[in-house]
Amino acid sequence: MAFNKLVYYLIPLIVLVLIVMWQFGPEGLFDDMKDAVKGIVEMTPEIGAEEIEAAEVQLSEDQLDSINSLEQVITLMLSSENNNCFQRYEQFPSLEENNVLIEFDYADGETTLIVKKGEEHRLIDEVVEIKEMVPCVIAGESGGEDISENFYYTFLDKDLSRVKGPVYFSVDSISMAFDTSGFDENRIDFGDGFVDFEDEGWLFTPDNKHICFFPTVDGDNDEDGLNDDYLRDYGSYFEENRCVK
Amino acid sequence: MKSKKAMSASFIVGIMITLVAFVVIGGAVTKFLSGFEEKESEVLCRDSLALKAQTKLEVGGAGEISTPILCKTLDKDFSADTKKKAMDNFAANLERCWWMWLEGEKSEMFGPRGVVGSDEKTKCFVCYDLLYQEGPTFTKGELLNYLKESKARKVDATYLDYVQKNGYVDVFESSFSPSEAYAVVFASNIEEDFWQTSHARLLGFAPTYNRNGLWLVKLSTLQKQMPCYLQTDIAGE
Repeated sequence: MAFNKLVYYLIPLIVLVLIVMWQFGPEGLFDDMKDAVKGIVEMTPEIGAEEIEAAEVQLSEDQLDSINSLEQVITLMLSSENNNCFQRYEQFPSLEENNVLIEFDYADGETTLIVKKGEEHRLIDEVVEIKEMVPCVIAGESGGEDISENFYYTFLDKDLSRVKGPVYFSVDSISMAFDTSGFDENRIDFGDGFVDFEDEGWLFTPDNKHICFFPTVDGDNDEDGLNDDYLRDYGSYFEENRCVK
Repeated sequence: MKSKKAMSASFIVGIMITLVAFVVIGGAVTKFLSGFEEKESEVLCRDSLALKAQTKLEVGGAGEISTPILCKTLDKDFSADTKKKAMDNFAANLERCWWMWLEGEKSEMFGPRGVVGSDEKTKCFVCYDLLYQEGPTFTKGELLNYLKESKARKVDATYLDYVQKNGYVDVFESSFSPSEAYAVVFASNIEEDFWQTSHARLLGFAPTYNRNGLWLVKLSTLQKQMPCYLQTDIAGE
């Protein structure tokens, strides 16, 4: 009786062990099934999501040099002891190649310079935190008066009786990129879309804290910037009044 | 022999039992999935995406046939006593979201755009709702620098290089403060197509999304601006 009972339990146990070995053993059905499924998947490449092939984007040497020059010049101006002074950086080559965008973002008392590249400027290439810098432009309006006019009469024409307000305009964000909405060239956006940017590489600081860019216009100074001729005509004045000589 | 009346009664009972069973099983499966631990949910999400990527079959302009996405938006809250710890938390969640979405390698995981329109925004999914409870404020620049300089947890690359290998990172906010909720969002690519994307782009009203991307954005900004077509998770949220 006891033997019968033992057989009664042993047979299903042996069968179970055999099934497990058959299915999961090295030559088992489970492995065969896995291989078969893998084979089917490999045989059907036309089904399935396409792979995204993202190309690598590298800034050109000229682009890198001018961005480095801009960083260095800003650092120099921030550490200068002279006020109301100018400094020149290496003007940007065309930013069209690699779709480069140079962005200054101001938040919580510091500015971040972010260099972006690639289609739609989506890839981040460089991030530089510039403590104590406030971005600004020689453009915009204050009390109905063009800031570029105030700047012109203060520093270039030196007719202070015609100065009717501030000479610079602080902003939270400035971007520079190749833009096709005007002439196809490098342009600057300080909040209201891209405008001309024939700055000849000059920057201005009133106080070694605000670093101002020069948006420009063809013709008379207006809210979009300074007459681009002045950046060339007054080059020697800017040279004489550099922050660091 | 059973009468016709008895047979139809048993047939109705059978159907009722089947329906009840479906409801019970469906409820149990949903409850089982929603009760998943964080890591299990993430693995399930990635596996379901891998399967979908293998089986996706586009049927002309009518859409696609494929297995479902079993991803769930996970709510997390955290505090940090230093900027580094706070930024590391954001970075780790960005990395995890990118990992779940197959490192951005697969195209149009939410399916193709419609026959007409739907190009002006991309389709997106919120991987995490992050409630930054207590800690220091930090800027976008500091976070981007952290992503650029720090090595990711699971791969031998910085966080930024890991994502930018196939995709892009877009940080919407200029600073990050405690007591704010942020969303880590996977934004799908849109495949270039002359008659839709390229043509619309020439006319100036379609952004290109030739890569998948990761967005970090305040939850309130996401809800207010709706910068993308939000896809619901398995719980329908």
